Amino acid sequence: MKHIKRIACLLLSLLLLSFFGCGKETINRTLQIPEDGRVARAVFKGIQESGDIGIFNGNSNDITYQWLFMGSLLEEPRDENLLVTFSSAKTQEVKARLSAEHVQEFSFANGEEILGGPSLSVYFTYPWNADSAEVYQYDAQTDSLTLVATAALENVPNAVVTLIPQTFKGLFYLVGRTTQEQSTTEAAAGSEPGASATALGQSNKATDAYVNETKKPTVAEPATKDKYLTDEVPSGKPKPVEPEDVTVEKEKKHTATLSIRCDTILQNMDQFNQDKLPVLPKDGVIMPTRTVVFYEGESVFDVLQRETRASKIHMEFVFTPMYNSAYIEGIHNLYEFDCGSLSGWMYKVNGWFPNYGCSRYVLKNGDVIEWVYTCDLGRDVGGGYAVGELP
Amino acid sequence: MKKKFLSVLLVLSLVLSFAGPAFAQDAPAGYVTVSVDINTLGNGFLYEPVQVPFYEGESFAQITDRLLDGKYENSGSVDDGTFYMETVILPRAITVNIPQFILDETGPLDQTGKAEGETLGQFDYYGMSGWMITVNNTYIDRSAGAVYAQNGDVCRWQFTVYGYGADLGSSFMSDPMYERADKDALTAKVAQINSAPNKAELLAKSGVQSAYDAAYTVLGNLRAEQSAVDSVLTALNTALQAQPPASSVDISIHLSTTLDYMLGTVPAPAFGTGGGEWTVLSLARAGHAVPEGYFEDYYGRIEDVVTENNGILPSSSSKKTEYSRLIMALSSLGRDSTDVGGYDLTAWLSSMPQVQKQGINGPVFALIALDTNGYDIPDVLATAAMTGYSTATAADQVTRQRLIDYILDREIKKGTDDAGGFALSGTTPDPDMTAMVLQALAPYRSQPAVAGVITRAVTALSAIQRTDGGYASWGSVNAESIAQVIVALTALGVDPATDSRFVKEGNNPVTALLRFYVEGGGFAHILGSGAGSGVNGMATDQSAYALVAYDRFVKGKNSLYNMTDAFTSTEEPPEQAASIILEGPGQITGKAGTAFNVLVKTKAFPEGNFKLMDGLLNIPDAFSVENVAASDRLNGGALSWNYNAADKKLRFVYTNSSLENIGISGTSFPAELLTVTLKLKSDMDEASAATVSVGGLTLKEKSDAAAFVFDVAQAALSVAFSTVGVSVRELFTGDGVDLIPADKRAVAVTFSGIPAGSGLDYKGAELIFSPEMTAKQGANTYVLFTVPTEAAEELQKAENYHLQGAAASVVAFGDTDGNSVINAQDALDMISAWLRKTSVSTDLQILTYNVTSDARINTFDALAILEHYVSGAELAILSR
Amino acid sequence: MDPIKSLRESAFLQNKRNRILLIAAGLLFAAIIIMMILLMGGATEKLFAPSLTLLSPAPVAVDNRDEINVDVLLSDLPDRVYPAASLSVRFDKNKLEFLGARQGTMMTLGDSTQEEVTYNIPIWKSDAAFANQTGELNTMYLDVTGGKFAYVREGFQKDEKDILLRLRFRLRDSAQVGEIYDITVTDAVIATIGGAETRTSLATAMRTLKAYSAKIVVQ
Repeated sequence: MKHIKRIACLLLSLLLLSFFGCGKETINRTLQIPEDGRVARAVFKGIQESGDIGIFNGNSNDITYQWLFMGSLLEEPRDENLLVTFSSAKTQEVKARLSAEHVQEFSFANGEEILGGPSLSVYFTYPWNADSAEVYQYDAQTDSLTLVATAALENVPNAVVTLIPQTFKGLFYLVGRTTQEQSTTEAAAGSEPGASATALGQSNKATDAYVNETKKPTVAEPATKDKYLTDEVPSGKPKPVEPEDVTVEKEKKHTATLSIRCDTILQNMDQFNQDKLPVLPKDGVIMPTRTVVFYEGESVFDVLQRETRASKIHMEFVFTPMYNSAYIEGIHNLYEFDCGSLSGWMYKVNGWFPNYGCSRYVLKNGDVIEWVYTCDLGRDVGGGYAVGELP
Repeated sequence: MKKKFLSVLLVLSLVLSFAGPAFAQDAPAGYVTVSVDINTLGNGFLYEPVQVPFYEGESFAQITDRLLDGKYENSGSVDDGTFYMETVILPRAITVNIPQFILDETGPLDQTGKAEGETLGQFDYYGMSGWMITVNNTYIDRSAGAVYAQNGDVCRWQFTVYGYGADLGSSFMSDPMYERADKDALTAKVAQINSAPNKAELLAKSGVQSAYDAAYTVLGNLRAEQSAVDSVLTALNTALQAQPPASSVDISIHLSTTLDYMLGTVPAPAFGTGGGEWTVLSLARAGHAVPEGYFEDYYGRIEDVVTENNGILPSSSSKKTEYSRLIMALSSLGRDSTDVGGYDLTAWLSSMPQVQKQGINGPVFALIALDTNGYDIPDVLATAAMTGYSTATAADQVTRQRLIDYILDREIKKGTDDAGGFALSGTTPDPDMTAMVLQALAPYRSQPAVAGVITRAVTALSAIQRTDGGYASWGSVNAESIAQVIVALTALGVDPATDSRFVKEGNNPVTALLRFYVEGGGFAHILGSGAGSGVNGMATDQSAYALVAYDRFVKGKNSLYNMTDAFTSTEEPPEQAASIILEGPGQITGKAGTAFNVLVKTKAFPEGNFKLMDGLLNIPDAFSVENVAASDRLNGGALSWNYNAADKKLRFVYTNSSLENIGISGTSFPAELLTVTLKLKSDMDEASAATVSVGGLTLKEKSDAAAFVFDVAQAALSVAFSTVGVSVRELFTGDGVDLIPADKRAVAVTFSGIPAGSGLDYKGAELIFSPEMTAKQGANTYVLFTVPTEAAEELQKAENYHLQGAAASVVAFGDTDGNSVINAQDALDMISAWLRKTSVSTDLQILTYNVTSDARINTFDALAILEHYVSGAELAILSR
Repeated sequence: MDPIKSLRESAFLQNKRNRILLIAAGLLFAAIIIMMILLMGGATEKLFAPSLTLLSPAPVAVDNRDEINVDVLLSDLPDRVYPAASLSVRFDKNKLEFLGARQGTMMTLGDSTQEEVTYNIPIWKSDAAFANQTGELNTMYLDVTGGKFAYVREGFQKDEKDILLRLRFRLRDSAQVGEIYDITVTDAVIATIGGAETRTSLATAMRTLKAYSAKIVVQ
């Protein structure tokens, strides 16, 4: 009886331990590779189940390296040894044989395959005078160097080489190549450059894209500097675009809808400037919703200016450098403060009141533009409050 | 012998073992707080809370014995766990006023007081009474002789009347009558004050006495709520920690650099909120030097705007503040607003309906504007023809009192106990609006109604101030709100930097505003690195005149908006404007093929929507143009140039094909526009000289719009020829204060015709090669350390320099640790050198450390490294 | 009489066995002392180079424009005073937007006008606009007093106060599914006064600090 109790206790504690042990490791995504290189199955299981990524950092002889495991690619998690050892036993020889300036020897822990198709990034402490890198495998029996894969090289400014290892046995060499050089295979051991492509081709979309990504020409995007007092634009809403950064393309036409209304005045006639009665539309509609055509890159202001001009509707604005935008003072002779000290014109697009000037809102096809007159700093038209302007 | 030896040892150890504790006895093992109170008799403390020392191994019985100095009676022994406090011999007479809630339980009791020396103890006043003790807010269930003290403990002896502590809120022997608050922390704080050697000083500190008294009240209230106890403790702590009033804050650098910045970015102010009245007002009220004609030209533009529009200012139909703002700016210039191009601008402020149309801002600024020069308010009917107020009636007439009344009427929660402050809408005081109202009402504070509103508004401003000294408005902490508060306070004669109402945890509005200062001049709208940070025009304008207001206040001058002094005084000094200068070697080697760079720089760059910059340079016959490159600071376009040898003109255009704006980045001036590389076509002798000059440089907005023309009067460079070209530029001279000796002067010497990096000496002193400066100049540049008295002619003589065999030492500015990386280690090295924790001795070190190229090595150099690292700002020594 | 001689002649030590035991005990004692010296002195410093790890965030959905946090984790902080620190990180400016640095959990010394020592979580200076222009973000913490507000060991605690600072990014619209972006440390230093000469600063340039970079995966 005692024995059974003891065994039961032991099992229970083991269970609890593993439970907690498992739980703990899935929280951290970035882990340090232990000295013996062993990473338990539970860790990979955690990555697989969470669909997350696993980053394992290691260090050997002043060279740091990093494994990246994608949870979606792990099929049968198991214990792995992620230790990579950097050495230099045959480096000089290989440099001569391949006539390359940069060569780094390395080997994997067990020579056993590491499942899950992870990528390995190697961080050097100096730049490589090369454009790309290749991975060679050394076969001691035949004394041959075989090209097994290409790798990505970036000098940021120190060299970082990233590869997706396919074979793990024996000694390997990272070799830096400049584009003029051709990759050389030593013996006629039947490995063509094409093989490396297929090896990569077997890898999944994610890592494929990564390898290709570094070769794409980089396109510079203008950094938007926002010094015009714009508060954080809520996520998902379009950011302001400075009018001077935009090119209007007259060949590309789009449509949107535009309306201009001042019906809030009708609910606040006691505050309304009686002098302006003649210009107040009885139904509060200055321009009913209409479809307008605009050119790619144009702003809300551009459309308002064009349409009011075309329909001979009065519109007065002043360009405010402070906000890098036009500020609409009056439409249809109805100006700010004509309906109390909290009144003025506001605009919304697709139901949202942008918190920046109308010259900075670049339109997209199908946008719904509404100009509305508020008598309560925006609260009566569902727009929170507008930023007050000092004289 | 052995025995003797051992016996000596034994004796020694015995002696030492006694000596040990004997030594220990002198020093207390710690301090505890002790108090004795009779709150259940309604008579406060018998022994006020004090901090007393205790010694190793002492119990609370022994500590209490020492405090009471034996004035008590006990059973058992003080020295062990049999101690029981039976009675206390009263150190003073007591009166008894048992709280009603206790009497409700006990029934009526005899409440006769006792005299000093009488005893108070168990069974007095009621059968269940006696002395109880808490240690760290726990009623101890053992003898006080069995509880040992630890540093920081709080021990409170309390007399209980009813329920063996139930009236004290203790659950020790029965149900407590109420939930008692934990008063230990507050008691300890009071004890700290009571036992402080400088107790009187502490109590004299602003706010401490009242908090201290409040503490006693709370401590004496048996049923005080925890929240009350905590808030009193907080108040006491805050009052104690409050820093002594600081002396006034030095804002001179921030103000002058910001005003320079404003001059640089607004070379031609015109009517408007930005780049207009506020800029003029700040510069004028500061008495800052402006370029010749700066204010006159502005006035000219204003006259044009007024006359062209028949006195109706743009955008003014619904906002009469346009007039107010203009009047304020004109007053700052000492200009009469009643006759601008023949128009009386004050007339537009004569109609109440018109002025108040936009809400409270209208009357506030009308009042400020009119009071800048004590303007009389014109008659609204008499001026109706000019102002266009055709429907005006006599009842519309504005008077100062009507403006004041309108404003007073809009006080938040007016007439209630919570009244105070102002806002555009709503009931939360808005700092900007409240401050602006105070600015308008300041001259009228002698009126009783106004005085009340002002007091409440100032209280409101103090209440909404943040602990960092600043203010938030419309949801964001920003510079403008703080600026308005500073102007308001100085207008009222309140020192924003030292008035205790506006000093929060050592921070005040002035120091808070300076946090928005951007190195080099200018202020940001909000702090941080997201949207809105970086120099902002409106924030700069407001911060500038706020600093001016503060500066005037500290110097005892008229307040910012009391501009009567502008109408009497005159100030004039001119300085720089948007003028172009050329930089280049004054002397080059007269050999054919010698190449050198001429840098075209501007002292200011206007703001605007410029799409194109073009100009021409006159290049003398002697030179051919090798290349023209746009500087990194120009952005938005590409450069194209053409040199016509026939008319000796180099024409260039900087623009882009899509008519985007071009501009300049960064805020340091003079700023480089172009680098022109010239080459000498044939040998020239020393007698000749050639002058490169700028024929013209303009910026264009549209093809028909008025361009901006740079002043090129000074843009000429005369180049002389010699066998070896030497040109010398001053870098810095130490002043002996911070690590650079007073006789150390550094000059940059540029040579043409010398192999790069070769060793050079000048009269025995070795020159240091600078690859960075060489790249910038286009010719080899070294740095020489010499004495301040060394004449320029001597330095320019090529014969004084001799080539050495060994290569010159090389300087990498800012890289103090020599690891080719400039990072925090280098910044820290500069600070530690300035703190004299490390030394800077060699010339090369001085040159490496002094990246600001000023007379000292100090924190400015470290901060320059910070800017260089974080934002890529060029080190000053390179842009000299 | 000579006490040593008397000791030697004592009966206790005449016994051979006792002598041997005594010597053995003495040797053991000596061995322990030596081991302790080795473990505590010098040797520990050399074996121990703290590491600075950029923590990779969870994979980000391609249309997600929320802030992405990359925490900068320090493994240990030797017992010194560090008044300055800087970090340079390379990132793909065409795919990511750098929003700025936010404070971490590691604390520096705080306001020393208080009686007790207080701690602060410091704010690092960074320039997002410049970083997005160049693709390299440089952020620095500088205590201009040279020590009053420095990083110290007390402000560091593994698993609780070990995040030096947080870097905030956001995906740009050009991000594509399946891409992986490197966030690479190019230079990092946690500096002590005179730390370059004495090699007491933690610096990647001096090999006294290891740096591990991060990756942002787009899903």
